[in-house]
Amino acid sequence: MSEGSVIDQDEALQTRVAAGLRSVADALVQPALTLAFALILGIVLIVAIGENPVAAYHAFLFGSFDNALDFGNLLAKATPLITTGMCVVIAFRGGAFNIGGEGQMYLGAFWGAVAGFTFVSLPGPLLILAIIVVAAVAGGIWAAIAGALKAFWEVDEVVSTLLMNYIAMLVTQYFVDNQFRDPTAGAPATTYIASQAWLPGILPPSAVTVGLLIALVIAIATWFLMFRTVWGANVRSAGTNRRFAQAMGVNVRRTLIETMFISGAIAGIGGAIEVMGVEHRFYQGFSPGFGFLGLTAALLGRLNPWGTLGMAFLYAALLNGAAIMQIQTPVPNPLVNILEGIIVVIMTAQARPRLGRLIGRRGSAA
Amino acid sequence: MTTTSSLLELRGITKRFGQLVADDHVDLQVTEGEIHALVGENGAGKTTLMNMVFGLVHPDEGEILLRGAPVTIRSPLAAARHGIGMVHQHFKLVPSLSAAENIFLGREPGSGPMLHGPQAIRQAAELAERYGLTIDPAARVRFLSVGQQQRVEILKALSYDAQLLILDEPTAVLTPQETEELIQVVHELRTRGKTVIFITHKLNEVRAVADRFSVMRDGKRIATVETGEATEADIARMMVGREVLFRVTKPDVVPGRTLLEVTGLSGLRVDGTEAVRNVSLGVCAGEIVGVAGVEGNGQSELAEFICGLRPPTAGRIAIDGREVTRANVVEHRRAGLAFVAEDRMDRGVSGAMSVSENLAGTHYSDPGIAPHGIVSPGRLRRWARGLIRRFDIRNATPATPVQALSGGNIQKVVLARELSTEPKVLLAAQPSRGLDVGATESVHRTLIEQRSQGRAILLISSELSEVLSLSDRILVMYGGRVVHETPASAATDEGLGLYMMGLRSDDAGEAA
Repeated sequence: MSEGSVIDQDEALQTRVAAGLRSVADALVQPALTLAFALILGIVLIVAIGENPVAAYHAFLFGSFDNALDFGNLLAKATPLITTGMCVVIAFRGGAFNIGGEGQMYLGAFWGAVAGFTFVSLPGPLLILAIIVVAAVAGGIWAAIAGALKAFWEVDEVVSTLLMNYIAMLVTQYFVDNQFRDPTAGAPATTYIASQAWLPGILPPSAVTVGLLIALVIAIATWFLMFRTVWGANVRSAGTNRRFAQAMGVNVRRTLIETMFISGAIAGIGGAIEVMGVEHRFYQGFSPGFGFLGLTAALLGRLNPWGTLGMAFLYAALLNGAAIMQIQTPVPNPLVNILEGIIVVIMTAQARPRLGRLIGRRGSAA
Repeated sequence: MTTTSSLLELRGITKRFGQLVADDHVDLQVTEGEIHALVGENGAGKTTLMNMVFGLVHPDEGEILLRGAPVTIRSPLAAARHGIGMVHQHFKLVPSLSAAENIFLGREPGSGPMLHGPQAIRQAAELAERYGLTIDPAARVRFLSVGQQQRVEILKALSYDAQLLILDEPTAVLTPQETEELIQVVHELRTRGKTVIFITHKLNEVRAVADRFSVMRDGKRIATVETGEATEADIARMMVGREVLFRVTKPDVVPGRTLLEVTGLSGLRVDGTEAVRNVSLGVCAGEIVGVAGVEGNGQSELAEFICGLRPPTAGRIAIDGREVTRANVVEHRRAGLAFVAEDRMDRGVSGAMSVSENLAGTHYSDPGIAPHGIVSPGRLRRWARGLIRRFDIRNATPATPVQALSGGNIQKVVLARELSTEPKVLLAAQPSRGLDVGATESVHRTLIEQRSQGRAILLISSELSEVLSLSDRILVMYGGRVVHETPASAATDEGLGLYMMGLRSDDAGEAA
């Protein structure tokens, strides 16, 4: 193979950069339009309940960026969405529709916490590492069970992972109600993990911790794993065309189970980050449905790690904005739930072909 | 022709799909009572044009005239009311219903909510007899052969009293004998006063069936010619826009040692029924062995066994002396096998992935592309660009999603990937299926080149002319067995056809 001339390579680089920018733009235009449409519907709703949409939206959209505290809280809310989002990116790219991120995160959080108050003699960094490993294994095994069920008995993983959410949450509920209950806690929770494993805040007094950095590392690792390794290429080929992957010599069963394990492991780590950063113990009600919010973020981000990362922040901004809006204006918090619902409905309604053509035209004109 | 009145006339018909102009100001005139062939390569706009006549697609510009009067055809139902029937390439039949029930689906004879089975069967039988299309109206469609199913489709169209019948590549799925019969049926329809538009890209059929033909290329009608005035070479030139090399010239190659050896192979289908029984064959270096046969006679399974995608139940497979009978795909490939899967969108490529990733499918163990399991995007891209150039894959960059390419170029991606592993044995299953004349020619040229380079090639094809023109030796499969073996030089269309139909077998004792 002959090397192209320098000019050739320059041109190639330019087209590559252009293509890269276009794909990023492609990944963002659709969700942005979806959100814009949902927000416009929101205006109608706010007016309908007799409130001022300008004041409400000011608090909703810009409240998170007014000061370091609110901004930090936004980042704190984004953290678990990033990990559960990456959990979905990996599984869905591999053709495994893992919607059990919530349950995998619960088990990761619980067993991570158990490790955190058991190995109290370990120094901070080692203990943090131990908690992460235990949480990853717990979440990973839970997801891999669904993967194995699908690989060997063709049990639909959508059903199994969804139902295993309830099993996981009821199991942790049982433990915190019985063996692992901290009687001094007002709610079902374990005792505190050793304080050397508490993740330090990075924008005090806000809630954001170095857990955010761990989540960002996971996002980068997800991208690398899926798009720069042979394993990731095989996972994606099994996910896009299983029979093609077989013909290329990929062991699709093993790959499926591995995919589910990694996916569940990341959800589990997400749970451990919440334990180490926020509650410092396993608290049964710690998640307002992070697993499902991450699912939405990943789908809005088109299963692209960067798109999902962006959507996790955007979604966190919505959640945080809703909280601020509730404090600053009389608009009720459930409005944001309604907006969320609208977003999901629009997203699943597939406005895509037409939008795709719009984008395609602009792309080829450029 | 006694009448010259035009039944169907198209004026300036244009259809765009986004930026693609499928049909570009097409004028076409079809005379009452003629058989008019519409020929052209895939993507030339034939089917789209006819879908507009049938009301499935609506033209952006232009008008459709029936017997001189402009009409707007909004739906297939409207087309039926205008006396236009169409038989699609993929049949639209309900397998669990009888032929008669399919023919009258939605308009069951009799009144009230009850089905009148016997009456429908009687009417279907009458209809079949009138046009000389023998079928069993009471038989369930799923038990009918492809040729018989096609007759049901034709009868269905005729039951609407169609005057103009459009057949979209009707012979693509038929055996030579069935094709022969279909051509007779079409001629019979003409004597009954019907007009037929026959879409095809097979040149010999144009000559056999049509009174006149129109050639489409790149969405434009190039010419309309009386069949008697053109040779096959003329038609091909008009379709492709350049001279086409028909007879592949095979250089003399002295076959080397046996590289693929299959002995006494038997195995099952996915549903557990027997697919392949006691098949033995050998392919030498520098030799093309063709496996002919009507699809569904065990060829697909034979290919899967030889590739290691499924384990056979008995027998032995050896690649260059190495036994791989029950080994997995990776072992087969390591032993020197490469394969072109029969359905490229199924096992050949992952359409959603890029050209470079599809090319790399079998090369990820190559440290030049993925050192230590980590893909080097730069090296992958350069390597892919080299293959795109070498195999002349058009409109492709390494990042193009494969599904954006045409069928011929997708097949080039498959060939580029498989041949770049420098295999000893190449299994090519239906390598030119669905490809147009130009792309088929290029695939055939590639196979001949590979033969010259001393590869052993097993060609599995239901396209008899392909087997005949490329192979050195020919095997015929019927009912999972090899029923005939012959040097290609001694084989003829008709002779092989009898074996393909199961009417003859070398092993007379076992013949069904």
